[in-house]
Amino acid sequence: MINLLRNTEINLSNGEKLDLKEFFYTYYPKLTSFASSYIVEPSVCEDIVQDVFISFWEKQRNFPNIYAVKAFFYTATRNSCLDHLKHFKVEEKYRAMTKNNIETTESFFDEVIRNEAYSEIYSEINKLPTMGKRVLLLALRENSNEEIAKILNIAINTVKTHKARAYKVLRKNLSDLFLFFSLSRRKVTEIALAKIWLNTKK
Amino acid sequence: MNLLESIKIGSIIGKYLGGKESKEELVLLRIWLCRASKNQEMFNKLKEEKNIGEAIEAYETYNKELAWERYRQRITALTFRNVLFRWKVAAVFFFLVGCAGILSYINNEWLTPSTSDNAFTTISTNNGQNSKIILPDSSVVWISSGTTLSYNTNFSVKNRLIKLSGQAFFQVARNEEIPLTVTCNELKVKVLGTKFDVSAYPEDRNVSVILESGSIELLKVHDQSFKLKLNPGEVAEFDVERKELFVSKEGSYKFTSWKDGILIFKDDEMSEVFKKLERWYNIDIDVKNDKVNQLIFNATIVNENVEEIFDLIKFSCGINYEIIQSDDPEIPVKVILTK
Repeated sequence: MINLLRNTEINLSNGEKLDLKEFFYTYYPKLTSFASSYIVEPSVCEDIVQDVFISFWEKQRNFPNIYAVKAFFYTATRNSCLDHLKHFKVEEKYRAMTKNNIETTESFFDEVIRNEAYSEIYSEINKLPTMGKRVLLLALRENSNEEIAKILNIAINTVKTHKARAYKVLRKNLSDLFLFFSLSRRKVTEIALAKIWLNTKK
Repeated sequence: MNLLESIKIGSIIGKYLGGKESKEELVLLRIWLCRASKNQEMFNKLKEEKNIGEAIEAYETYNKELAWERYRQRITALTFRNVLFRWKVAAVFFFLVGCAGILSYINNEWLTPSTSDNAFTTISTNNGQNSKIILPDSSVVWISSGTTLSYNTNFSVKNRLIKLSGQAFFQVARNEEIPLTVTCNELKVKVLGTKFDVSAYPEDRNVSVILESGSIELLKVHDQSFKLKLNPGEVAEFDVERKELFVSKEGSYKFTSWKDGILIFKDDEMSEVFKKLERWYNIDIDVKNDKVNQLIFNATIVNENVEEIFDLIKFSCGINYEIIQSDDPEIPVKVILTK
């Protein structure tokens, strides 16, 4: 799969290629964060994700497409986390401390959706210049322009410029109820849409 | 909802939040939102800037560069270990090959005199299969079906030794200094250069030797004093049980014709005929009526197939037959004879 790491590309059976380094850069933070919904200690989460990546590399099996690779990583990480909890017999204690009190398949899927969604944005944010990224993160955490200027020790106008550029990674007017307007017509289109859904599922 | 769906819908939501979704993806997202009110709730939560910021901050806490460096080192070590393992395997392999080479060299150089007469090369044929081989001294041997023949490894260097179980026709290259001997059971055939046939199947009572041209000597393995010279056209039959030898003047072509692909039966009992047919065609013959065995059969068979032969037997002996083909090539065709 990897010829002494000179080549970090992994071939999928549908002909697509996966750059291991690029994949690691988006998936390592995402999976570690995902693992932290099970286990509190960040170092344990990091170790688990490292081991999952190692077992991915050792398996060297052929994945049909990128979704199968992602599914492997989520499943393996989840299993490792649950094993870890079982192993240390501190399940109850940890569960009380984690965000989701009871782990179910449902909450597992929710976490997958959350991490997949945010990692899309994350990989866009990572393309921003350092200052733009810092401004955006502070702005997202509901800091005012003045506060950001103070924290980063820059002029308010600079904050505004960075913010304007950085916010391009996000949809305009995210908080608008854009989707609700389309929901009113949902009954009309439901059957047609269901068909498309079924087709794309294949 | 399954894992793959979750991954797909997750990345669609991500694209939507970044304003990069395609028309089709937007449709899929709307459908997903319609499917459960829970989905709508979740989506509303996901698009809150505060939550996005929180998640991104969480991602930022992990040092991915450091982690990648660690991962890279670990898999490099693993790759190196695998490569090293392969090299080790290769090294062990070449070491063993070297050892084998040295051993066989030692074997050839030092041990040859003691083992040469005991080491034999063996050739065997299955039933229904004839073969022709040329021995190292350029003697030619036709090997009949169901026969095993072996000759000593350094054949024609000091001696020419052949062991035979079954039937073979020999055309021996003349070499008066190194006589050729064929050993079968108790009987030894010693030749200088000639053409002759030896038939010594383990299931047959007799070992028969037919001389076509030249001259051969017959010897008994456990009786040094015994010696019999055979003349061309003569047939010697050796009774294995009684260890007695009979010589008769019979038309020898009947016995040696098999090497030309011709099977001759002349005044032969059916039991003998069946034995020969079994070997010749690699078939099993099941005789339900014993009386058939005593009948006398005359025929010359050239290239006929099994059915044609048994049609002939059916006609001349007044019997019926049935051929049972088998799907397994290992199991021979069975012929059942009924009255």
